[in-house]
Amino acid sequence: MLTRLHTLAQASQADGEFRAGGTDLHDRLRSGVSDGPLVDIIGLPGLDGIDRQDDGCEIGALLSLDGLARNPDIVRDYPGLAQAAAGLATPQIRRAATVGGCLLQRTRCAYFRHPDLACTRKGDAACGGRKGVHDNGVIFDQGGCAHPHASSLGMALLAYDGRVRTTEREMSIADLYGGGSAHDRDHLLAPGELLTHVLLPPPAPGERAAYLRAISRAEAEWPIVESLVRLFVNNGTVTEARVAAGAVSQVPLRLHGVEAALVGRPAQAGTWGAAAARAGEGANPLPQAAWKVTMLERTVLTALEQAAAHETVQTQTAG
Amino acid sequence: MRTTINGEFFEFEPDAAETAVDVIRERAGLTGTKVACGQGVCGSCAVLVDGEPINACLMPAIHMEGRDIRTVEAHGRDELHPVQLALMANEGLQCGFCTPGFVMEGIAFHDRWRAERGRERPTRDEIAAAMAGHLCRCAAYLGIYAAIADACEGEFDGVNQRLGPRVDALEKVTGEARYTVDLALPGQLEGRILRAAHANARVLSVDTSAAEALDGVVAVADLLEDHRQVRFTGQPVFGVAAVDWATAERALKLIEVDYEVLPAAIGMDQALAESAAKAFVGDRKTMASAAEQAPLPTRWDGNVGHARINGTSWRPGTARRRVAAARGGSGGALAEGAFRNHQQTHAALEPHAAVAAWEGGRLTVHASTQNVHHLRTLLADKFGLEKQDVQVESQHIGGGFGGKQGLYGETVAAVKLARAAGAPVRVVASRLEDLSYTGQRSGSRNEGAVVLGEDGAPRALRLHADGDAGIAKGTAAALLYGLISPWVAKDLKDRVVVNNTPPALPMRGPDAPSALWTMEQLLDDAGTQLGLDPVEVRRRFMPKNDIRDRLLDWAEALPAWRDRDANRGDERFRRGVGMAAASWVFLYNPNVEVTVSCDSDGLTVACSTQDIGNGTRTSIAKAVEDAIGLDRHAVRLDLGRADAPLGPVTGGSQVTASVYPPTYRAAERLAARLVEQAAERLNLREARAGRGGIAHAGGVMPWEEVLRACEPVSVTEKRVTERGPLGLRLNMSMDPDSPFPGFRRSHALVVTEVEVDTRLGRIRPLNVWTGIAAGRILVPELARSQVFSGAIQGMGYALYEKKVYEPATGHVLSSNLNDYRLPGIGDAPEVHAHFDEAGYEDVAHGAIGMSELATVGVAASVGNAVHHATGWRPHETPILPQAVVEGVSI
Repeated sequence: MLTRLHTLAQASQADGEFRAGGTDLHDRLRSGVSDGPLVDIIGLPGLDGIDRQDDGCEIGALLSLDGLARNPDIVRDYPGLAQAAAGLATPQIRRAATVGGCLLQRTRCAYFRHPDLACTRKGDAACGGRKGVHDNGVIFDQGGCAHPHASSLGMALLAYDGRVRTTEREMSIADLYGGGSAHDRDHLLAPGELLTHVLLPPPAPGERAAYLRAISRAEAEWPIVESLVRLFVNNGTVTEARVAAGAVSQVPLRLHGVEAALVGRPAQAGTWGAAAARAGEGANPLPQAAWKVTMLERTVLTALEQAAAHETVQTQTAG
Repeated sequence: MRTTINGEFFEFEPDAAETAVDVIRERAGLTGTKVACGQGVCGSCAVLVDGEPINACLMPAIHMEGRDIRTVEAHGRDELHPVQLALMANEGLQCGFCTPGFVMEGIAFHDRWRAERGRERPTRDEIAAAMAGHLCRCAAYLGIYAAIADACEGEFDGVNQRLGPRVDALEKVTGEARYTVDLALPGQLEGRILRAAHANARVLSVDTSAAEALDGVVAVADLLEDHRQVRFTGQPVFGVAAVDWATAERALKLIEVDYEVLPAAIGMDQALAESAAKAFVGDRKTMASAAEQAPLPTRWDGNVGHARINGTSWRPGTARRRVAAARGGSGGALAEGAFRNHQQTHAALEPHAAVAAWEGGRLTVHASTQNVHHLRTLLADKFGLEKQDVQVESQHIGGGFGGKQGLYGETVAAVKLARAAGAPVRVVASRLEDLSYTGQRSGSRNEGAVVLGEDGAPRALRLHADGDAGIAKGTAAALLYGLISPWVAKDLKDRVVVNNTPPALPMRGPDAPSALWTMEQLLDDAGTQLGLDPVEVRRRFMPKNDIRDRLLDWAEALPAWRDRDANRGDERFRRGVGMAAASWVFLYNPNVEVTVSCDSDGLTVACSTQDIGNGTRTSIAKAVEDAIGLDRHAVRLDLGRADAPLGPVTGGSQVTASVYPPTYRAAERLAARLVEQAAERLNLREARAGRGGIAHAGGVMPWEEVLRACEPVSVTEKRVTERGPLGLRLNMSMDPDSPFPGFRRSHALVVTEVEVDTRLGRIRPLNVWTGIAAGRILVPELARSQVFSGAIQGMGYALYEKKVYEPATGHVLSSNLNDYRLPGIGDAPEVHAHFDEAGYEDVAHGAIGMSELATVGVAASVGNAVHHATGWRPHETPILPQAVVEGVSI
C-alpha cells in the first residue's frame, strides 16, 4: 500500500487521507474521530517555498504558516494575508501546520470533534448542533452543518482573490469551498486530488489591510467572528475595497454589501460605520448565534478602522 | 528510521499513526515530555525540533527522520539552562506537569532573544505571544513571566545552582519528576473504560466475547454497580485491559451493551421542567455527594432536593417581611436579583490516572490523588481488604483542585482489571474523559436579596440557591453563605437539582464563589442606593472586626481604588475597579502525625500526605528550617505513601496548618535529643540547639556533622488541636461576630481592575489586589503563589470556563481544551498579594489556611468591576463577550 508520496503523479493512486503537518489530523486520530489509512506528503519536493513571479506569487502547499507569516515578500505585498497567518492558532502550531492543511482542515465544531456525537461532516444524516448547541454557529446559513468553516487562511485568500492549484486543476478559493451546501465535507477536492499551490494575483499598490479576530481571551482561540479588510485610498477617497469574513458561514464569505458601501466614499469615520452596518446583510442566523450578527458588524467596523489607520505599504513589483 | 534525540542517534520503525511524543515517551522512555491535551493547545508536549518548539503530540513520528530532537532531559540537573534556574527562583511552577513544555519553549525564546536583542528585558506581551501555546492550570504565569524576563536579562548567566523556594522544583524543571501517567511497571497493561452511551438507562446485558477474543486483550471487568443502572452519559460500564491503548480502544468498540433507555433530564433546566424525567430512581442514600461536609438532611420532590434544615438561616420570616417592605418602598435599600453560574471543570493537566498491581492478596495503587491516606481506606473498604494489605503511592501529582480526593472510576477500573489480568494495569483518562466525566464545580442558579437600613446596616438577606451537581447531592451555597455573612434576619435555602449529568465534586472553595457572586454584587447595588461606596457599605455590613477593617483600610488607600472613577473613561475601552469581601472557615486536621528521623546521611520527614503542586514538601521542609536552621533543600521528604504516619488530604486549605506545627515541634525535639547525644559523645560544653547546628562553647557544629556523629533518632509528633480532639473539624476558637460559637473565619478582600472592550465584548483583567488575613504567613513564596493562582483560576470562572452539555444526549461539548477555555498566560492579570498577618495568635504558629480564600471572592469582584466600568450588571458567569455585547449599550 502506498503510504508516502514521492511524486505528485502518485497522488491519484493514493488511498487514504493526505497527511502534511498533522496538526489537525492527529487531533482527530487521537480522539478517534478519524482513522487511517494515511498517505504522507511531507517531503514532496518543491512545495514548501514561495515563488514571486511577474504575474503574482505561488505559494507551496507545504509551506508552514509561520513561514508564510514571516516571509518578507508576503508581509510587504500581501499584508493582510501575513497578519491572518500570524494571528491564528499558536506559535508551535504555526510552525508545524501547512498552508494546504490550513485550507483543507476539518471543521472545529464540537459535535464533529466528539467521537460519540452525530454530525453531517462525519456522514451522519443530521447535524447535532443545529438542534442542539450552536451559539458559535453560522449566521449566513447554507443548511446542513451548523458550524462555520475553520480556515482563517481561506477567508484571507478570499479577500486576495486567491486561487489554488491541485494535481488535477486550478480553481478560485471560492470554488475550493463552493457554496457551503456540501454538508459532508469541508472543501470540494476529490479523493486523491492534492492541493499543491496557492496562487496570488500581483500585489496591489497602496493597500491598507487589517485582519481582526474577535476572541474572548488574549491569544490562541478559534474566532467568534473574524474579518479581513483591504482598502485602497486615493486622494481621500476609497477607490477599492475587499472585505471578507470568517466564522460566520459554512464557507468563508466576501461581504459585497460592505465593499459597495466603501467604494467612492471619503476615507473617514462615517464611511466605516455606514459600511460596517451592512455586514449582516442577508444574514439568516441560527437562533443561538443571532448575536454574532452584531459581532460581525462590530468586527468589520474595527477592522476598517484599523486598516484605515495603517500607513500605506510601499509595494514593489517583482522581477 | 533514524533520528537524534538529545544528541544520540535513535532508530525505530514508526507506525503510521504514531506521533513524536509516543516515540519520545514510549520508545525512548523519556517521560519528562508530557501529554495533557493531545491537540496542541496546552504545550505540555513541547520539544525542540532543530531548535524550534513543536507540539510533539501532533507531530507525525515519521517527521522525526533526520531531525535533531531535544527534550527536557537534555537539560538535566548538571546542565541547567538559565530559564530553568529562573523558573525555580521565581516560583514559575506549581504541580510541574506543564513545566517541561514551558522550559523548552522558554529556552528557545531565551536563546533567540539573546541572539537578536542581547540583554534587553522582553515585555510581558512579547513573552505572552511566544508562550501562547502553553497552559498552566495551577496558573503560575506570573512567576513564568518574571523568570523568562530575568533569564533574558542575564540574571542567571553563569549561575550554577540557585534552587529557589520550592524544594521539589529541581525535579520538575528537569523532567525528573515522575507522575502516575509516567509509570511503566514490568508487564504493565493499558486499561480503557467503556462508557455509557445514554444518560439514563438500565443495562440489560453486556456481551464482551468479541472484545475478549481480540488479539492483545488480556482482561475485561464489569464496572457497573449492582443496580445495573447508568445515570449519566459516560458512566463507566466495562473496562478492558490490553497490551496497548490502541488495542484496548478497539476492544471497547466490540463490546455490545443492551440498554433499556429511559427518559433523562440533562442539566438543571431540564430537571426543573414541568414534565421532567426522573433523573434518579433508586436509593438516594447511595447518591454521590459533591460536598466535603456531610450532606444536609433533604426532602425530595422529584428531582429537587430541599435542604430540610437551613442551619444558618436566622428569623427567615422576618427577613421575608423586611424584603417585602423594602420592595414596597419602606424600610431601607433593597437590591435583589437572579444570578447564574455555570459549572467549572478542574481540568488538572495531569488527567485522572491510576496504576494498580496485585501481589497475592496485596494491592498497590499508584494514583494521581490528593489523598493517599484516605484512598487506601476507600480501596480497602471497596475491595474487602485489610488496610495493611493496601498501599497507595503518589510522588508527583499534576494538579487536583479538589477533583482528586476520592476513589473514582479510573482507579476502580485499574484495580479490577489488574486483578482479572494478573498483571499491573494503568488507566489514564483521555482529555475528553477528564473534561467530561471526572467531576466539576457545581453550577448554580441563585436568587438573592440584600436589605440595608438607612444607616447602611444590614436588615435582611435572602439567598435561595439552586445547585447543579449533576447526578449528585450536596450543594450548600446558602448554608455556606450563612456562615460567612452577618448575623441578621436571613432567609437561606438550598435546593439541589439532580439531573443526568456527571456528579460534581468539590473544587477550590466549593459553593462560595457562586454565593459571593450573587450577594457581593447585590451589596454594591444596595450601597449605591444609599450613596455608600463599596468600601463604606462593607464597613457597615459586617459587625466591627479589626481584621476586616484593616483590609478595608488597605483597599481604600490603593491608588487604583482612589482614582477609579477618574480612570474609567467612556470610550470603547472602559476601565472599572470592583471589590468583593470574602471569608472562609478554616480547617486543620488535629490527627496528623509526622515522623522526623535522622541518620548519618541526613534528616527525613515522613507523612502520608502528598504534594499536588500546592507545596506540601516545601511547607514541611520549611518547618524544619525554621525550627533548627537546617536548609530546607537538605531535608529529605518521605511523602506520598499511605503507610506513613497519617497526613492531611490536600484539600480544604488545611495542609500547611496541619503539617507545619507538628513538623516544627518534632524537629525541635529531635534537635534536643541530638544535643544530648552530641554533648555526651563529643564532649561539647554548653551545647544547645542553634541555627544550623549545635552551638557550644567552641563554636557551632553544623547539623550535617552532628548527624554523622550521632546515632539515629526518630521523633513523632501529632498536630493536636488547641481545644480537644474531635477529628477533622472547624477550629474551636471564639469569634465575637459569629452566630455559631466555635466558628472562626479567615478573611479576604479582593480588588479587581478590568478593561472592558464594550464593542467586541472582551473583558481583560488588568490587576488584582488580594488582601489576605489568614494569620502568619509561614512560607511566603508559596503563599503568594496560592494568591496568584487563586486570582487567575477565579478569572477562569468569571470570564471563560463553562462546561457545556449536549442537551439531548448528555455528552459534554466542552470536552477538549479548545472548547473548554482555560486562562492562558496572556490573560493573567498582575496580582498583588497583601498579607495582614495578625489576629490568629492563638492558633499554632498563628497560621491558618488560605488557598481557597484566595479564589472565592474573585468572580464577584470582577462582576463589580465590570459594573463600575460599564454601568451594566453581569448576572451570569462566565461573562462571555455575548453578554457584554448584548448588555452594554455603546
